[in-house]
Amino acid sequence: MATRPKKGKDPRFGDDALEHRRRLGELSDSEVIGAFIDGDQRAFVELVGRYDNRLLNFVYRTIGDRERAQDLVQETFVRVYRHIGRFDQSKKFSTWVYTIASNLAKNELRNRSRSPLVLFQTIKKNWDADHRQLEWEDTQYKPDDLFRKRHLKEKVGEAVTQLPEHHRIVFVLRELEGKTYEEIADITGCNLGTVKSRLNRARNNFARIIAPMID
Amino acid sequence: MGGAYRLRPESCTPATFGSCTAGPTVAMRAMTCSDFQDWFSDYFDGTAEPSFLGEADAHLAECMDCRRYHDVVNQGSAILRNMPPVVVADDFFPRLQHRIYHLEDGPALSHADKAGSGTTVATTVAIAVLIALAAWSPALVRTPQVSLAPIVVSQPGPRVVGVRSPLLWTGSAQATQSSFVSAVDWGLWDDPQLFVRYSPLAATSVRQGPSDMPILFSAGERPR
Repeated sequence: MATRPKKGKDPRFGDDALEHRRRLGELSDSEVIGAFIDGDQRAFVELVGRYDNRLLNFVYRTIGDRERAQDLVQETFVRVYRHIGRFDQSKKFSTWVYTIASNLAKNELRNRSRSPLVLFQTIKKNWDADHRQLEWEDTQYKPDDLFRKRHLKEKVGEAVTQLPEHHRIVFVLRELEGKTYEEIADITGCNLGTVKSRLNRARNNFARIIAPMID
Repeated sequence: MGGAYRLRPESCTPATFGSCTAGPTVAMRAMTCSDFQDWFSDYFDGTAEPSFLGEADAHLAECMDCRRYHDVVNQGSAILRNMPPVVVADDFFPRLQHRIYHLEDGPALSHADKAGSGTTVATTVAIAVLIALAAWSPALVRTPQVSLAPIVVSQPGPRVVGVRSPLLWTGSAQATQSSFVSAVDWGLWDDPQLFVRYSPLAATSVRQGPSDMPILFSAGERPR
């Protein structure tokens, strides 16, 4: 990506591009990284395509701001590009990339706590929620039910952002990303017992917050 | 709440209690709500030992509070997982590509900045040193030697100072003019007091002034 090879020699151009992309899609993460280290710039594009939305969801649920989450995911990939040489290929790439994103999200939360401000996105989100037209998803449902479901979704989403920072990251990694305890321990740099303890406390808090809204 | 729940040794957790061989045989008691909630995640995620799972199931069947707690977490998790995922914006990849393309510019620019700032500082210091040397060094600063022609002063002639006399009204315009001219010639204006005294405004002030000052005439009044 940093270099511009001539057309015809680079598989990004011409008829070979699709075939090359298809072959990269069949490779495992470590194989794609190997191709990238060997100079195949298209392999980095493949990595971005595999993890961009997953990382965005993780960071967004952690910090609660979509635009900023997108910036942080970009920064994550920039760091991956710059420091790919430091990556230990015996480890899982997903753990490494989640660790980078998690650290960036933690720094963001710390910076925000030092200089609290009301984000425009937060105001806009609330405004949108207040002024959004009802979507008639199912004619069998009553408007009250639709409203209640939407309200419940919003409240459950907000409940995540009310969790303490170190609980929240563990909770999101487990509940939304489906990571194992061991993976969470690797990503957060904690031991297994700490992960279990934090996850248990996070679930306790989460249940306490949403219990009044759930039948 | 019922079911048999063995008190576990300090060294092992309920989740691994089924396979734990540490410690002596411990007392048996029923699983409490506190036990269940303390190790809820192991039960919820299915990572606990089967024996613990069985006992937790038995506890849930009898304890309404813990069942409610389990349902709330279960429903909340389901709602979270079913939330529509956020996706990256259309310009995400072009922006990323742009940033990465210019990654190598960063160190180069930063190096140029450092070199530029170093040069600037060195130049500033050099100029300051030169100015200081020019200001204080006796070797560099020479007092200019100016040779001028001698100044010859000639003796002025004797100054004729006229006798000061007041400008008096003589009755005719011509006489007044001649008297005024003669007063100028006599050096009337050399004395500012006289100027004040002979002005029309001063005449009024003189009239209103202290009694020891002479009253000449007031404005509009002609002396006889």
